[in-house]
Amino acid sequence: MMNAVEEPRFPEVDHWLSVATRKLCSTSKERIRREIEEHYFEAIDAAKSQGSGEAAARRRAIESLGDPRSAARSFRRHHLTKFQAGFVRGLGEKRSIHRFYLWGIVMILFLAMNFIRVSNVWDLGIYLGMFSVMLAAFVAHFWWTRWFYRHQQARASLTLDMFSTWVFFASMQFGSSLLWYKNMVADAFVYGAALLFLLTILAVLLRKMSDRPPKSA
Amino acid sequence: MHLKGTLPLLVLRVLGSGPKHGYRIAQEIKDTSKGVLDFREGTLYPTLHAQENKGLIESFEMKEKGRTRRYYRLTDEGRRVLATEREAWRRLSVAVNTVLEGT
Repeated sequence: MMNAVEEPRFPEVDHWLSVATRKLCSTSKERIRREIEEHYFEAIDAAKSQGSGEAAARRRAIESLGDPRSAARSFRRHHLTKFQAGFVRGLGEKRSIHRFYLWGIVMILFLAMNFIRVSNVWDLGIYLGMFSVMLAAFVAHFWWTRWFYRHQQARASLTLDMFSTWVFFASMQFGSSLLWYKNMVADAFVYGAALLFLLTILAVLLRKMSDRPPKSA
Repeated sequence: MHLKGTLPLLVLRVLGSGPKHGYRIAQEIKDTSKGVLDFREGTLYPTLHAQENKGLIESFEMKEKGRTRRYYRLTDEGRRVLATEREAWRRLSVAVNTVLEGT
């Protein structure tokens, strides 16, 4: 009986896995590797018990798994890719201070860009309102990401994390339309382009995050 | 035979009789259908992970004969969905058969 730990590597299943899990994050890769290897060894044992030799059993086992590219497409629908995992985590817990600085820089730039143009009390009110929304989004985003890491309960925290991100984008949208209204077309275009890019990424992430990730990997 | 769209239901049905690991699930579908429902076993795992993400099944690891295997079992929600989907499938197959036999 073969064992995944004791046996030497099997190049055919290694290759299958490298194709099927390409682009996936390391957690997903590891989980899939363990399951597929176990499946593969089980299939070899079954083929041998039916009278197949070692080589034939291995060939049958790898053939039974099918096309790894097709499996890769399916896996990517249900697992986060490296890029998506990185995006969800933001800059990650270990470098969360960088995330803090990043948000801070964005807010300072935003404020500097807009307060320069303040010419009356009405404008000041609008910009202060936008700043408050951004600050709230920042606090929620930062807090819930830390909560996620502490409890590893993705669904609720990530939903809230995403929500706070959306609040931030909403403030951008608000800023974009305001700039447009003031005939600052170039600024509005930059806001809109950034928004579109981030929304595209978020649309995919939100679909995946609406599912409940496995409790253990 | 192509299993497009039916594999999730078949998985739920197989798990209805108790926890099983991936290889056992694949073999049971094939054996029970006497080989008619054949599929590439690599596609089973994305289906299992999707159903786990939806909360229809849950997994746990168990040591068996020196190997660590990941088993899957139905959740309460999975049981409910299985009952609903089985009934929907039964109605669909009856309707299709009625049409096919009537023409």
